Amino acid sequence: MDKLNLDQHISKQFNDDLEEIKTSMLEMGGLVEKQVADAVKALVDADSGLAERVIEVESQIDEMEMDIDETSITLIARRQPAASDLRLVIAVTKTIRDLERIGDEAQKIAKMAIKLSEEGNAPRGYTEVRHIGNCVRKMLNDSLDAFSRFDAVSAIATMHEDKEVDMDYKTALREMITYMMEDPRSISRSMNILWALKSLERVGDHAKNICEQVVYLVQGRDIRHTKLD
Amino acid sequence: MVNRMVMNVAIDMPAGLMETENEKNTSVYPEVSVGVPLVASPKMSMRNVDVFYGEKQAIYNVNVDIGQNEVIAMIGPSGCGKSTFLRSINRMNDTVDSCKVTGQLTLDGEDIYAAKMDPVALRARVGMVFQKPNPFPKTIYDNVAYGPRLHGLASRRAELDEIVETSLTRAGLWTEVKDRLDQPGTGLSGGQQQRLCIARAIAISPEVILMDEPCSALDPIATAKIEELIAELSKNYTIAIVTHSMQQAARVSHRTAYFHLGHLVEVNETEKVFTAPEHQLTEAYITGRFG
Repeated sequence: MDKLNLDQHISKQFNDDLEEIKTSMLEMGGLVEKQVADAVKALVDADSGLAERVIEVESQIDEMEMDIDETSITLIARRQPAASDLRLVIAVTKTIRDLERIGDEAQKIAKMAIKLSEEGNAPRGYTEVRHIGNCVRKMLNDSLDAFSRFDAVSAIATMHEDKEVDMDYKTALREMITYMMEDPRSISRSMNILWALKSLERVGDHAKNICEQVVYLVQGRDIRHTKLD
Repeated sequence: MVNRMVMNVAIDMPAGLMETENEKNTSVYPEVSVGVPLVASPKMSMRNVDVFYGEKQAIYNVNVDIGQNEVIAMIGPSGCGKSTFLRSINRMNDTVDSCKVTGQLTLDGEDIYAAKMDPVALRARVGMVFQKPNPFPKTIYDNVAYGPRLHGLASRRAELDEIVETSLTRAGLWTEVKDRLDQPGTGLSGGQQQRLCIARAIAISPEVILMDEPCSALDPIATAKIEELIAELSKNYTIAIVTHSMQQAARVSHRTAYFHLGHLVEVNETEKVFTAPEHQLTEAYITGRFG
């Protein structure tokens, strides 16, 4: 299927309803992407003001999730969507759950940013945060792009990137352990960096989940818990 | 990322990118029905079936099996031939002079259009329930007893009583009518009348029950009772149901067959048809898009 023909229903209202949940989901995705970017920036720039803003915006994301959920439930109740329409509604509701979790991770990173800015200097591990942050932001961006274009091929390509993120995370973990062994006074700081890295690694996992939903949406195949080939 | 929020999200993918994975792009009839039209050891088997009304062809080369104890739903837009097809599998179309059925249709391997096949005996084995409840203008008891009497299935009154009770029980109507069996069947509610017709159909122990939109004249409660009954009946009978309600097909059937302008486009597990149908035409119909 080249596209889902969302605008082809006999009922125009149905077209609009489906378009609405998809557009709202992508808006939420845009906001979540910005949250991750801001959280990483706040951490590496020791900008506690920016971190505070990330924490404030988090509740907005929760509200968006609940709104889209409600719209989706109403749509199921009123329209009984089938086939690709059903898959779209299900994929949207699962995706916003992942987006909400990514929002939570951004909030955690922002909290670490505040702690780190209070402890001051010796920015070891920031390179890793920046690097992994860039990787997972790209993954998240690509996964949402794949969703908006109903592009299962690029969704699968994006899923493969998660392996690299996991490897980079393990490498960073080893480095942080080395720092801690070299200088036990850095343990508390390094732990905070580690929590932030762990959050970023989780963002990659959630982006991968979104890609799985894109494949389900476009091809009707459930590829969760299967090996990528 | 902000761009994505404002841009029009309906973007075409490069043509042909997905075609190896999924050949849904076709909107013409497939040469052969997609999905799983045939099953192992079928109860009924239809091969190369064409149906004509005079010059006009109503059914084109349909190949499909109906499995033992299966509930198969036939769906499609008005005029797609689903009722015509249903009526050709117990020779109801014999009563239409201009109607001609060709191809092979078998019940347990026996050709149902063979010269030696008695259509009345066939219809005792392949019963039918119609869209509008059509009880005979007789008592409830006689409605159910009519068939067994006609076919000589009971030699004594007690046997006939038992058949009536069993049939009404299986049709889920016994407790509602057991105290007024001598009252006219036409005095029952629409849903009860339809269940009476089902009781009448099963009184002569058919092997297959054909249902032609059995719930379209009923309210949702009566519909739910008939659907519950279909699930119960499928333990003992093979059922083919034509329905305009896609949700009904989704609820009651094991496999769903989609007809389009006389062509059998797709037959698949019902679960598959309603979540990820294989053919574009099926998809367009069940999602309410332009065909």
